[in-house]
Amino acid sequence: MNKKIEAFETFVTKHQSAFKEPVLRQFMEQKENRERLIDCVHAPAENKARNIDETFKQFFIKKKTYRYMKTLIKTCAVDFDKRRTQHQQRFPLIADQPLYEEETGTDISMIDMLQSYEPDYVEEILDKESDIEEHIQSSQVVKAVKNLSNKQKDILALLYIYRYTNREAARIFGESPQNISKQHLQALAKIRKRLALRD
Amino acid sequence: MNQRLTTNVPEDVMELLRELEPSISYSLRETKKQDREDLKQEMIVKMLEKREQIGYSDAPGFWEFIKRKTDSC
Repeated sequence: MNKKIEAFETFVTKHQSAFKEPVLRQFMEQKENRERLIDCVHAPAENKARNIDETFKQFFIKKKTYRYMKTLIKTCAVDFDKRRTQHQQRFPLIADQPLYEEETGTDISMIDMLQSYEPDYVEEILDKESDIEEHIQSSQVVKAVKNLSNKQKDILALLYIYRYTNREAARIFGESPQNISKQHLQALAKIRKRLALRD
Repeated sequence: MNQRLTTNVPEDVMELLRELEPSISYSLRETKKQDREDLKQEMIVKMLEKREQIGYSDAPGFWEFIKRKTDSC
């Protein structure tokens, strides 16, 4: 039994650059393939060799297909969005018709002129009456919070005062929810660090 | 026009779609919800089309692969 393993290991060492390749490594992770190869190295036979050859080929094709498809999916999505945006620009809905103002140079569309019954989130944010500092009892924490960037303070205000979810906050800033979460956690870490320094 | 699809989808195609389901869902995120079904359909159609075109002939066998990668270093 040991002789088999030895022979196998010699084989692997001899072709180590090949065995470093991810495809081959994954192929070898399957017990059946490994056992067949050990057997073939120990006692070579044409049918065994052909068997391994064929199995690997199928495996390789499968991996190749999988990789190709993953890229295809991504490009398909990007392409689709591009076409949709193009279509919307070429055939805009009436409400989306741009109303370009010469003096101010703003890009607004008709839909912006319509009155909404929903609260204007952006205005709520810019209305700085509810600063996060005013909601904190501990003066030490307030001092720590003062040193955060305005954006971080806004995010904290949204999440804690207005109880927005990461997704809702992300929509306001035009960023991803993960980014909001990241900045949120960074702000908290900064506060902790500040408080730790004081003590 | 509204005929039922009578051809059976081969098992390996189904397996491929199943394996790629997470990749598909991930790529659908950035599209508007109302368009996602359309995009998914397009993706699947494209995948099935391209599946035929992937070159099978130049895939190396095991021994050829070993030889190739050993020689090239």
